[in-house]
Amino acid sequence: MARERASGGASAPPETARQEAPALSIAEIRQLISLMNSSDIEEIAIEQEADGLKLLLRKPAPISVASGLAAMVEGELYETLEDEEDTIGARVGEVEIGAPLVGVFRLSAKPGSKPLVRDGDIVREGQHIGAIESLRVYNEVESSAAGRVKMLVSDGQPVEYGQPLFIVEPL
Amino acid sequence: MSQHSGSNDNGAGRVLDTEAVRAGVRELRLGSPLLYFPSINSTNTYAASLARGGATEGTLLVSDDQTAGRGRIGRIWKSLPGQQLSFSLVLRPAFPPHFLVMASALAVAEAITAITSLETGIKWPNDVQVDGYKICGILIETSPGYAILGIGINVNGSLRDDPELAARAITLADAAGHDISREDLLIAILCRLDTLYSSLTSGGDPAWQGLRSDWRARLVTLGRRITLLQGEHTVTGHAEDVDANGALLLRLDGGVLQTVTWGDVQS
Repeated sequence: MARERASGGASAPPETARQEAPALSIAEIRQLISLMNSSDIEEIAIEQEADGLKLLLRKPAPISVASGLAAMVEGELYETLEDEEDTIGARVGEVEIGAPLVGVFRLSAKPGSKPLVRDGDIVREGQHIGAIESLRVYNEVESSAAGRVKMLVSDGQPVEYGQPLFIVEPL
Repeated sequence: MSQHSGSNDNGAGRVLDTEAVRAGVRELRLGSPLLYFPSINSTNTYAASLARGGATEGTLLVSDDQTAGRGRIGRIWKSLPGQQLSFSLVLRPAFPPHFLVMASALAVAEAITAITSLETGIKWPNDVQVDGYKICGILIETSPGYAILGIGINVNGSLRDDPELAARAITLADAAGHDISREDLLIAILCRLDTLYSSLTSGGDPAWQGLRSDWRARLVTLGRRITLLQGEHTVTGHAEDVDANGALLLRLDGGVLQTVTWGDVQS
C-alpha cells in the first residue's frame, strides 16, 4: 500500500510558522484527492508542528469488520454492531465497498451495456462490479472480497466520496 | 499528407489504410502496435481485455465497423462502416483521469481544425462539435493499472437521411462539403494526443493546469444559461466556469454555485 507523508516545515519556530503559515486552497485539496483517486496512494498527510496546517486524506479502504476489530471482545462487538446495523451497513465478517470518488453510480461498465452484477450475485475478489462516472470517465469499482454481493445504491444514483456502494458477505 | 479518398464511388466507405497510419505514428508513444479489425463489437471492450493481459501502453485498436457502438443515455449511434473513425488506446496514465478527458477532447478538436479548417468547440466536458453539431463520441474507462480511451468520429458519409440524428449530429464531410481522409485525421489526432500525453506525464501540475486552460478556452458551454440532464432530473443555471479538476461550476437560479461532475448539457 502506497502512503505519502509530507511535512510542512516542522523545524520552523512557532512565531515564524504563524506568520508564514502555508494554506491549502480548495482547488489544491481537490487536486490531492484526484491524485489519490488515480493512483495507489492510500493516504496523504500534511502536517506542521506547533499550530497551523494539518491535512489527512485517507482512502476509504474496504471495511473488514472481522479483521479490523478482531482484538475486541467478540460479545461486545457483536452487540454493538447489532445496535448500529442500520447505520453502518456491514456486519461481522462482511466487507463494505465505498465510492472511490464523487460522481454517479453506474451498474454497467459503459453506456448501454448489461449490469455487471445483480443483488445476491456471487462475486470473486477483484471482479468489476460497478463504476463511478465523473466527467464522462467510467471509473471501475472492484470487489475487494469474494462472496455474495448486496447493493446499497441503484444505477444512476449520485454518490459521495466514500459512500458505501456494496456489502460483500463472504461465503 | 497522405493521399486517401474518403469513400469509393458508391459512397459505401473503404478499408482503412493501416500501413499509412503505421507510418504516420511510427515515432510516437501512442499508436503502436496497431491492431486493425474490419468489424468488431467494441474496440474498448477488446482493448480492456488486452490491457488486463499486459498490453503495451499506446496499443491502438482501430476498426472500420464497430457494431456495438452506443450513444449516451440510450441514444442511437449510427454505424457508417468504412466512413467513421472508431479506435481505442490502451493507456497507463500517471496523472488524474480527468486530464485525459481534457486532452482527448482537445486533441480531437485541434486535429479536426488542422485537417479540415473547420472551427471546433467542446461542449462540457468532452463533446467535440462543429457548428454546434456533435461530431465525436469519447468514452474513457479506468481500472487499477490502466485506462482505455475510445473515440468515435463521424468522418464521411451523411446523417441527413436520419432526421432525428441529423438534428444534433453531423459528419465532417457534410460540414466541410467534401470527403476527409480518415488516415490523415487519425494520424493528426494521435500526434496531438501524444504531445499532450507526454506533457501530462512529465510536466506535473504546471502542465496539467496549462492543458486545463487550453481545454477551457475551447468550451462553448461557459458563459451561457444551460439545462443539464442528470438522469431523470434537469438542472438549469448559468455555466460560470470550470474548477481545477474540470468540474462545471453552475450558478443555479436560486444563487447557489453548484459543482457538477456528471450530466449531459442539453442547451
